[in-house]
Amino acid sequence: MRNLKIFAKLTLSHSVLGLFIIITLSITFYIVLRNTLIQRSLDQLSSINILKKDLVESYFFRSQQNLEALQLEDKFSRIYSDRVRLSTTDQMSQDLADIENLCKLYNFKNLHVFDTQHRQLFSTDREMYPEGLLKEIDSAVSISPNRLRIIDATSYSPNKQVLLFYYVPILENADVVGIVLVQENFEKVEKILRETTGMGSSGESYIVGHDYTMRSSSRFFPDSLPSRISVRTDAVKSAFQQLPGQSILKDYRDVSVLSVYRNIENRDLQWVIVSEMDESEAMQPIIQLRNYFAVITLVILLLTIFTTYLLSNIIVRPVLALKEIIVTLSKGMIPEGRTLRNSTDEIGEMALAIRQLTQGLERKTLFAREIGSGNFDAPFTTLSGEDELGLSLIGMRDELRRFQEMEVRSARARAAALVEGQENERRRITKELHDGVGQMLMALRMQVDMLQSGNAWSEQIKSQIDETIAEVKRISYHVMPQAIVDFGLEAALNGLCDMVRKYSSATIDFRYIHETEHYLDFEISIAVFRIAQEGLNNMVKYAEASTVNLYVIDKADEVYFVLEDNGKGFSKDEMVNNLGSGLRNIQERATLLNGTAEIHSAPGIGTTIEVHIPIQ
Amino acid sequence: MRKIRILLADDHPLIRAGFKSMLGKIEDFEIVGEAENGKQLLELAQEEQPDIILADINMPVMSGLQALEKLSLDYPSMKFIILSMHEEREYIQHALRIGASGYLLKNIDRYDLERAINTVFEGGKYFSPLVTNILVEPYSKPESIALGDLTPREKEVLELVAKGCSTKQIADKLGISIRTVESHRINMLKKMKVNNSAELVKKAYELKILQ
Repeated sequence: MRNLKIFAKLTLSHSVLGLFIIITLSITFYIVLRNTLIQRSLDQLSSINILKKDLVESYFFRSQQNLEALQLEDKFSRIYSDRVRLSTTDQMSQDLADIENLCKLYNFKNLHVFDTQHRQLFSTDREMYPEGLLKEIDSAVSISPNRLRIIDATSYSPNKQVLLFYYVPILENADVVGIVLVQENFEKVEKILRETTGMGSSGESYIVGHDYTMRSSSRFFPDSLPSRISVRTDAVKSAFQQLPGQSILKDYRDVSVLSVYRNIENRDLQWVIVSEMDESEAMQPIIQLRNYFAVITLVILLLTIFTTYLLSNIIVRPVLALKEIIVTLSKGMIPEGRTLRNSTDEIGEMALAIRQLTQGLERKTLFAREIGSGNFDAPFTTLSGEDELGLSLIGMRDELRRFQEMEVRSARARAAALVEGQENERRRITKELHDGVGQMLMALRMQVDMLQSGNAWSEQIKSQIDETIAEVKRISYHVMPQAIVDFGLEAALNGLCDMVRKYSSATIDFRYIHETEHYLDFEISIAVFRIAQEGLNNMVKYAEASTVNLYVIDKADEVYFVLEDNGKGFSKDEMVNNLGSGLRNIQERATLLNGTAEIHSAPGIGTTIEVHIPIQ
Repeated sequence: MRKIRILLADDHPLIRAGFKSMLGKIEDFEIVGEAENGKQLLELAQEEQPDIILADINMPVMSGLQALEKLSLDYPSMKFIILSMHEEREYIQHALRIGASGYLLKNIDRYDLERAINTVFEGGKYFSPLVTNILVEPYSKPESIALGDLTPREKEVLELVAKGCSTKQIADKLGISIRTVESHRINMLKKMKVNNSAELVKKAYELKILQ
C-alpha cells in the first residue's frame, strides 16, 4: 500500500459522498414510509374500531329490541300478575321454563322480576343480588322510570365483576308496578372484541367504562378482572370529551401504541371503544427496511473502497513514477531510462512537462560539462525566456569565454613582449657584431695590407680575415639581418636565400608576390623571416632536398607563406622527437599574430610548411 | 697636376684611420676631411667641395645614403663611392639609384681602392668583384616554360581570380585546398612572367587567354 495517502483521501471523499447520498435517501424514505405506514395502520385500526363499535351497538340494540318486543307482548306483566296472584306451582314451573328458554334464545345470563318493594317475585337462578343494588338502580332510573334501558352496574358489584343489566319496567296504566332485571351475558361482546384478525400480535380492542376501568378483558392481562384495570389514557379522556380520533400515545401498559378511539353510541351507556396496536409492531417493516438500508450501505461502502482502490491505483501509479523522478531530480541526479505512459490527462501533461524538464537538465548538464572542458561553442538553447538556470549557464559561459579570451590575449601579449625583447636584444647583438667586431676586423685587414702588400704571408692572413668577416656577417645576419630594418621582409628573405645557397646545393626558388602596395609591420616581417629561417634551417640540416620553393604572397588582408621541399620528409614521431622545438617555434610565431601554421610531411614525399598571418 | 681631393665618411675611427693611412701613401690623393656621420658629411662636403666622397652606409644621426642623396641633388658633379660591409642586392641597387659611381666592400685591397678612385675620378664606375657578381646574377632563375601554357585547372582558377574571388572562395568553389589554389596562382605568375595577380589578369586578357 505504497499509495496509501492518496488512497485514503479518495476513500474518505468517496465514502463521505456515498454515505451522504445513502443517509439522505434513507431519511427521506424512512419519513415517507413511516408516515404512510402509520396512516395505513391507523386507517386499518380505524375501520376495525368502527366495525366493532357497530357490532357492539347493534348487539345491545338487538337485545333491547327483543326485550321491548317481550314487553309489548306483556310477557313480563303476565308473569308479574301470576306471581302477584299467587298462581299454582304448575303455572310457576311453566313460566320458569318459558323464561329460561327466552334467556337461552336471547343469550341473557339470568332474569329477575321484582315488585316495587324490591321483593323478588321471580328469578331464573338462585343467586341473590347484592344488598343495595336495587336502590342504586332505582336512583339511576328515577328520572324516567318507565323507559327500558341498559344499566352498567359494575361499580356496584361487590366483587368488581362486570355487571350489565337491562332494566325493563312492568307497567300497568303507565305506572311502574314491577321491574325486570335481565343480566347481559357479556360473553357475546367479549367475543366481538377478542376477534383480532388483521391486528397483528399486539393489536386489541377493548371497552372502557365511565369510571376509567375496562369493561372487556385485556389481551395482555387475561387473568385480571377488567374492572380492576385502570385505563386513564389520553385516548379515553379525549373520547369522554366527545373527541373521538386517532393518534400515537401511551396505553394503559405505558407502551407506545397506535390508538383509535370513539364513544359507543347508546343513550344509557357511557363507554369508549378503543382499538390499539403497538407502535413497534406497526413499525416492524420500517425496522426491517432500516436493516436492509444498513446492509446496502455497508455493501456500497465496500464497493466504494474497492473502486477507489482501483481508481487510486490508476491515478497513483504514474504519480508515483513522477514522484520517483522528482525525488531523483531533487537529489541532483538525472533520472534515466524512464518512459512514462502517454496520456492526455493532467497527469500525462505533467509527465510531458517533467520529461521536458529532465531533457532540459540533461542538455544543461551536457552544456555545463562542455563549458567545463572549455568548449564554449557547444550548442544550447534555453527552455524559455525565463529559464534562470539556462540563462545563468549562458552567462557563465560568456564570462568564462571572456575570461579565457582575456587570458589568451594577455598570454599572447606576454609572449609578444618576450619576443619583442628578444628581437631587440638580437638587434643590439647584430650591431655589436657588425659595427664592433666587423669593423675591427676590417681595420686589421687594412693594416696587414699596408704593412706587407703582395707578400704571400700577408695574403694568407688577409684571406683568413676575410673568412672571419664572412662568418661574422653570417652570424649577424642570422641574429638579425640589417636588411629587414633597412629594406623590409623581401630583402631580408632574399639575403637569407643567398646565404643558404652558399651552404646548400639545393635550388631555391624564392618569390615574393606583392598583391597590394603596403608597408608590412616589422612584427609580421620578423615573424615570417624567423619562420623561413627555421624552415630553411631544418631543410638544410635534415631534408637533403634538391629543390626548395619559398613563396610569400603579400595580400591586403593576410600574408600567405609556403615553404616546400622535395626532401626526405619525416614521420609524425620524428617530427615530435627531432624537429619538435623548431616546428613548435614556427607555430608559436604564427599563433602570436593570430595566424595559423600547418606542417605537412611524410617520409619520401617532402615537407610543406604553410602559414597564414592576418593583417589587421 | 693637382691632387684628387677626397672626403672620408665613416663612423668607426679605426676604419677611418685605416683608409687614411692607405690613401696617404698615394701622392695623387689628398684627404680634405673626415666625417663620422651623415650630417657632418653634408657640412664638410659643402665646405670643401671634394672631388670624390668615400662614405659608409650605416652611420649615426644621418645615414650615408641619405646624405649622399641630398648632395647628388645639390652638386651633381660631385662623385661618390660607397664603402660597405653589406653585400645584399638591395643596398647595391639603392646606392646605384642615388647616383653612386662605385660600391666597394670594405675588405678591399689598397691597389683596388686606388684604381677605383682613379676610375671614378675620370668619369667611370667601379664595383668590387663580389658586387659585380651579385649585380650580374639574375634575380632568380625562371624555368623555361612556354608563355601562356596554362592547364585547364589553372585556367579555371584564373577565371575566378579575374572575377575578384578570394582564395577561400576559389577553394570552396572548385573543392580544392587553399594551398592548391595558391600554388596554381604562383605557377601561373611564373609561367606568365608577371609579379602579381593584377598583372596576371591584365596579361591574360592581352594574350586572350581570358575573354
